[in-house]
Amino acid sequence: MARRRKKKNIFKSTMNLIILIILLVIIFFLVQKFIFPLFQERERIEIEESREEIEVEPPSVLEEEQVVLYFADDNAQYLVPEYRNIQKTEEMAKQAIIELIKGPTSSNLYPTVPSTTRVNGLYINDGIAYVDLSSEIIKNHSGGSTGELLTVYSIVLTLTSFPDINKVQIIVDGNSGETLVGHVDTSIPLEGDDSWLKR
Amino acid sequence: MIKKYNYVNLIILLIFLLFYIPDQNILAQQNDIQLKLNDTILNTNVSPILVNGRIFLPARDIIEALGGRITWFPALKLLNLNLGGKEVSLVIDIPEAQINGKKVILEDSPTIMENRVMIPLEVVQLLTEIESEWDKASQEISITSHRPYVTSIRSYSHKDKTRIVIDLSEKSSYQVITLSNPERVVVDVEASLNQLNEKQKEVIVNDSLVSRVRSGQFTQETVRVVTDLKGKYEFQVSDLSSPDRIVVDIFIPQSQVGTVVQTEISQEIKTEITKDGKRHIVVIDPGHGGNHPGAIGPSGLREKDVVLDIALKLRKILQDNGLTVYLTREKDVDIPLENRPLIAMQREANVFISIHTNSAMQKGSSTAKGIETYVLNSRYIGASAKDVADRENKASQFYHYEDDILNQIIADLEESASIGFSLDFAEIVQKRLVQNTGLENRGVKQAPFLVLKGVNMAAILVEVGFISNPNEEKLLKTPEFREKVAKALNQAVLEYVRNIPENI
Repeated sequence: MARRRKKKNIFKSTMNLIILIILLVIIFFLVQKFIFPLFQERERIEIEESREEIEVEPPSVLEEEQVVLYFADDNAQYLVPEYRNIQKTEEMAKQAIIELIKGPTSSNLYPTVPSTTRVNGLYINDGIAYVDLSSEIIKNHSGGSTGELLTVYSIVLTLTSFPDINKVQIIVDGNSGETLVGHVDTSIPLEGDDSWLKR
Repeated sequence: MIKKYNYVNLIILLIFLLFYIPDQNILAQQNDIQLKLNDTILNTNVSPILVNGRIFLPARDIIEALGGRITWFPALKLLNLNLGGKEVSLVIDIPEAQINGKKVILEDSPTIMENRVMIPLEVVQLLTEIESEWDKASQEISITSHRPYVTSIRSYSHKDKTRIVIDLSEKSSYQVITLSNPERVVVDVEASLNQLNEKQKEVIVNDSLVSRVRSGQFTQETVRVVTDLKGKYEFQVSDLSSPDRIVVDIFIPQSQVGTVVQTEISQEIKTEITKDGKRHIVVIDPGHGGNHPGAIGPSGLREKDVVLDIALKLRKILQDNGLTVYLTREKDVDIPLENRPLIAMQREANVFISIHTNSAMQKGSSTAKGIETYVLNSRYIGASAKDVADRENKASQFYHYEDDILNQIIADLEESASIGFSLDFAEIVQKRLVQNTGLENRGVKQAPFLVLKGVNMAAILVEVGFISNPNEEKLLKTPEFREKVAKALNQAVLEYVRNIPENI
């Protein structure tokens, strides 16, 4: 009986050993397959994050930059530049249009874009600025050739004063329509026109 | 008991081991779906992705590989694709596509994965004729694009020139060879001929330069188009787009070919303007209309009503003076802006007048006042591809020229020339209007006005006072002032047509 038990014990311990080895193999496999890459991934992410931190400039709240905005004169004959210092951002061109929509600070100049208009987005590609404005620019527009020209060219001149912008494509709620209020062809990118500036 | 427990454990672990590893392999493979285009592997920055059995392809890679163009506006999440003569707009996460202006519902939306714009395969299928196959075993997507094919061959005979046009389903490369005895111009196009019917395999031209044009599938890849010449002539081969085509021009080797074209143009312009010297045609365009009231005055006066009344008054006076007059609208209806200059072209007008009342957006004060006359800004001639296409269509519609390049040259020259006439006419109009109404002279100006585009006659847009100015609105309400404006415009038209330049 005792011998048999001993034999059984030997068998049992051998079995246990085999199981242990298999378990070790599996654990090794799993560690290699999952745990290791996880660490590597984390390391990579950490490196990337730290890199990003280096690249991101510290937020410069006080830094300002001058932009040129164009508003109408009292007889709506010319567009007159108004210089404004605004907080420096990544999207200065978009910010300039937001300022343009706010209207002039000078009392003898007049706004050119309906004040309720929002800037949906502005994207610059290959020297062309695509400025997407909300439909208020049409709905709240007073109409008229002169009114429409002042709206279009105040936007075009303001944007083309940025060195990387040569032409401006006006887009209203994602669509580049034919005109805003029935005169100026805004289906194509427009260049600045000096004839709007008083000499 | 312990032994049994261990066995169970072992078996479970073995099963786990057996199943888990192959599963991992499948996952690993799925990250690397291969894209094959016309039997060659396309190396893409991001692999195609399979989501719920739907295939998404990296937009730029596939569109550019198929020979298309792609423009991405990140700020607007807008994707513009240009492929096979189709223009498509897509917006990220919206299951819709605008194909040549028509809305199409998609099963899946274009999306952004791994910072790349991915488009569903169905978008590519909508754009171009492709066959796609998904091989699950090898994790491979094969796309077979149908090769460009020759759709037709046309010929046009002119006095000293013959033009052969090879129409293609899409852009393709070609080679030109010349053969002598007899003289032949051979164009080998990388395309197939399956769309060309038997009758067109030989086009009999038989004019002074060319006897016939023959075509056939030369090799599996190329179509050979042979133009049989009647002598040793000069030729030029060029490719044009929208629609894609290859143009073979054969002409007599002489230095005056340029002047031949020149005289054709000036003759055409001359006949357009002088006609028989007496019958002058005026097209009047009352601005806005229907749903578009135009500018509205402080007391509610509407631009569309004022300008229609002035136009009707002007028509009567001009007709009394023996001129032929057409209006773009006689009622309170909305005519699409681009149709208005087309009407002037169809009527073969000498003079086109678009009548408007002005407005300026000035909160609180509307001091802007006076008269101004506009002419198209010359820098916007041929400003966009659409313009070119439009003019090409218009030109062939109105002059019945079959010749495309010549059409474009003529249309451009005529438009440029028309700016000269228009400026002359605008000066007369401005002078007469200011004299008759006594309003402030704001001058003749140039602007990219859509209503003045693509015409070949004196074309102006006149702003007969500011409806936004309370004083001028009061004037614009009165029949007397409207009559004054109509009379001034009538005088200006008469002064202009009597002095129409005989030559340019």
